[in-house]
Amino acid sequence: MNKELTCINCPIGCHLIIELDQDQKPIQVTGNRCIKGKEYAIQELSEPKRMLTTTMRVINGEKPLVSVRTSIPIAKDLIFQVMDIIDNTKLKAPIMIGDILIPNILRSNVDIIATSNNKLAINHLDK
Amino acid sequence: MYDVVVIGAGIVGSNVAYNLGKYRLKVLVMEKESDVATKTSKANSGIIHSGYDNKPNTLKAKMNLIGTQLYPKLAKELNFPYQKIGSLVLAFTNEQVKQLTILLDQGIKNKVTDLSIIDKQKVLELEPNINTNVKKALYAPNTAIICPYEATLAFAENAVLNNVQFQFDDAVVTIIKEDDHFLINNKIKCRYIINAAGVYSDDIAKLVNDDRFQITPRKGEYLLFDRLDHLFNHVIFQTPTKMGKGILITPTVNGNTMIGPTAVDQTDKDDDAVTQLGIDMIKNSISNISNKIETDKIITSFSGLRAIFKDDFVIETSNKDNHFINLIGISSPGLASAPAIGEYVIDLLKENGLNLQPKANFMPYREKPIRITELSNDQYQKLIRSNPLYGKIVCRCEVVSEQEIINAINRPIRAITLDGIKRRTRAMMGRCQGGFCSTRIMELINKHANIPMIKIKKSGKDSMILYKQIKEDESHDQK
Amino acid sequence: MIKNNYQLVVIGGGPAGLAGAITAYENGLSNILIIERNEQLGGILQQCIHNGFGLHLFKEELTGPEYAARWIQQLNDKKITIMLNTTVIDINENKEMTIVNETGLTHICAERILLAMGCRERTRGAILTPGYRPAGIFTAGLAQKLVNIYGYLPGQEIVIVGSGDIGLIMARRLTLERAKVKLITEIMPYSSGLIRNIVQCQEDFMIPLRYNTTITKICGQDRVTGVMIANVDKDRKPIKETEEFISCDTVLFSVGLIPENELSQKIGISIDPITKGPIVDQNLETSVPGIYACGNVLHVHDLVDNVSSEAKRAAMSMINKTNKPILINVSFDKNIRYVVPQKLTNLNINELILSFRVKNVYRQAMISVKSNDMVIYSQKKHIMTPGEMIQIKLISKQLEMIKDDLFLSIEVNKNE
Repeated sequence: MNKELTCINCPIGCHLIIELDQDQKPIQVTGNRCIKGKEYAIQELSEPKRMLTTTMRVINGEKPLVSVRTSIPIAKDLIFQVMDIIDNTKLKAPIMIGDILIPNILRSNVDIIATSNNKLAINHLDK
Repeated sequence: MYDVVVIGAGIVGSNVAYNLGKYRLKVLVMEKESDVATKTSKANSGIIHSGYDNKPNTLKAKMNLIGTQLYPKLAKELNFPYQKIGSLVLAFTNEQVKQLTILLDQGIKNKVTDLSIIDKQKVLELEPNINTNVKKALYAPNTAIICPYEATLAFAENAVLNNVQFQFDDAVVTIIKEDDHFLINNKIKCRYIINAAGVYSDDIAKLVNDDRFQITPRKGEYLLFDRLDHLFNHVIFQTPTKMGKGILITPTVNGNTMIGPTAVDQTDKDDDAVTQLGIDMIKNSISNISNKIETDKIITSFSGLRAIFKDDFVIETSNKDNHFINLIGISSPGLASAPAIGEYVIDLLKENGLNLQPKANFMPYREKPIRITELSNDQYQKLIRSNPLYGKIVCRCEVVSEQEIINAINRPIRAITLDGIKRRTRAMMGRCQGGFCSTRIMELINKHANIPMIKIKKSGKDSMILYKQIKEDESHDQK
Repeated sequence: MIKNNYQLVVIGGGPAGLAGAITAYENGLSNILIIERNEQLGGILQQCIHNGFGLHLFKEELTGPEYAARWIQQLNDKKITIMLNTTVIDINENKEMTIVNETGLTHICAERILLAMGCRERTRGAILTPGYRPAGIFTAGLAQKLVNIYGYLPGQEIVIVGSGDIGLIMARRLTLERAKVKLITEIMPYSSGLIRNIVQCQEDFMIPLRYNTTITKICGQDRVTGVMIANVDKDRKPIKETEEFISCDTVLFSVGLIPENELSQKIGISIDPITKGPIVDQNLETSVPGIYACGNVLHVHDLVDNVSSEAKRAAMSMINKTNKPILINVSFDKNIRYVVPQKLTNLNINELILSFRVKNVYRQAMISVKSNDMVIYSQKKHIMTPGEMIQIKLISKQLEMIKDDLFLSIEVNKNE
């Protein structure tokens, strides 16, 4: 039994062929051009993971939102649960790129981190 | 109690309003859309025809001739762009050449001056980019172009300055005659009504039991090209056919090239959708005229409906009520005729007993909106010194500053929709069609007209641009 | 009017302009100005909050704002003048320009100009989609800005026209924000987007994608109420009998990008009719001496890393430029859409990068470069798609073999 996947690690998009044994366990991966392709194939068959990028609301910021991402790829099945938490969390400015905004979300060992800056709004500095 | 209610704020209704503004009257213009010139008056060729193609002794011939003569002065007083660029009717076959002489004779009968038939060499001198198999052309140097919605706006804004009221988003659905006055929509009382409702004018007439009219909406589709290539100097017509003047090519007052219209009769008065058939028809007809037109320079397509009723305009007092004046079937040359129709309506009102006292303080002018692209560097520098927001460019394609947008929001007839801003400032009208600047313009409407972001509209009643704020309780949406 | 002179004026502060200005500074130019229309640097990257940027240049996967920040950071210790909210309103071939911002008009003379204005999205109007003109029609990039910068959802039920990268990325983005993406239509038999975006944006979220399909009408007077879609025949013309109605309140157009060359045209620079960008030589110098172009204003790129690299090359070549006038034209066969640069004026260079796009999907095909019928370069490619910008590098050994005009071809494997 073979299974086919497209690697999403980089824009090349290698066409991966995974040879499976009777228990659906991977025996061999071919078609990959780098080690990441093999890792991806094995991960994808056991527990698919994705980087999640979205935004969060910021109170008192110069911009209404800050862009965020998961620190590392997170289980695909958790994505909408993570979105619910993110959408219901309001942050306070200032926020700097790289700030950990939600640590260890859903005990997944993945943090939500800021990917842009959001300074305190000028009218809030006045007060 | 109003003395007069004008139904419809297109080029005709606005001209009537402008003329009524000269007298001591209480006048209201009722418009079912959110702005002036949203239907026929925004989607037409923008041509002030010289008048050779009307049948002699018709209202069309008469109104066209007077209207064309009135425009230069009106354009100066009301400060809207008017360019007398002349027109050519091209003949490519001997049969078409014969037609040109018929048009010339008709023009002379209609008292149109300066018409002439010119030969191939002269045609190509005037228009080097048309196909060289052209034989002759009818040259009408008095043909002019205007921007039809800017002109409509100019008449309407002047009317507002002279105390005419405008009410938008208010469709007339009932008219009841009570003693000596009308009651419109069970709330507005007036003594006289002017029916300038365009393709809906037959429906409005029916509200006072005048059912003699049946408007046929005739769809006209257009393609609009980018400003970069200045291919043509004149309005270029093909030899007319039974369906009308046919597909023409015209420069616009803003330097774009516009090609159209098609002419397809339909029954649905709300269907102004662009069709594949129409697009193909225009593209095909272009090649007959010129092979220099690159279709990848098309910015957008649009279409409008012309109100067709028989062969001539109807400008008359209703046979059901002499306080009700019908302006029906104002199709081409309606734009050219509108100022004459406006004056004629005054005469009809006088005939039917309205006491017309000229206003001593009538304000004949309208301030020209500032356009930074029309200024010299020195003028522009001074302007920015007086207000830095003129130096902040919002629309990059058409070069429109933030202050020009704010001005449009604050003018006598406020622009509070994206289409309203677009028509007044040209912002979002260029090649990116608002891709870069429409969000910025929405912020300005939000700030200066105090409309919540999610309530900002493109044009009509339910044309909200945004659905909702994300990651926010609904209660916060209203800020 | 105030007059200012600069060694280099960079028009546009996006990824191309930033990399160009920084590289030029690091290599000896000191008096540099970046003109940016927006209120911040970084260009379109600021709204591209998804990851996938920087794999080549930074060897890690960054989001758009992070990638922009890496470059903006590098400006800190450099004396490069930056003018934000500033627009070039006039420019000529003598490299003089008039710029405007809230302080007024300024006249600027440049020794060199780097054009880095980027591109804009093709609109519904430009592709002449029939139908009404209601609210609810957006380019994918505008929708991206509304969601990611302003925090508004443009609609609830969405149809996306075009399966390019921005369309695919917006399909995922809107789904994450709980909108329903009902369909992505693609007029071609393949996506012009990256394969990874098909997988992680469309397949992951089970968004329907229909190839060989176009929209034939937009319905709705005030707000979009739906679209008519139809299959297309071999000539990409809709087949009437296959028409069907899909209800939706929003239509996003992701139908291609066009280099923003209005300023280039004002200068009088020659434009390639295919790329819609300037015709350049190996130095990325345009037909007007001293004016260079890089990034999406030159030709539309698929990866921002390539934009930055191209900008670096433009900056390097304007500094190291030597003149040894020759003229070699770069031409190509029918399988190739365009090649940049279009001409070579000097072969005394270390390497030459040829960037190009193909017209169809080719598997196991051979790229070859010939000069005077002699093959000087060949490389077999596993797969090439029209959505991907392909680059090949010729080194000095190969450059020495150039005797006449260059000819690029794709030799298709007959067995495929």
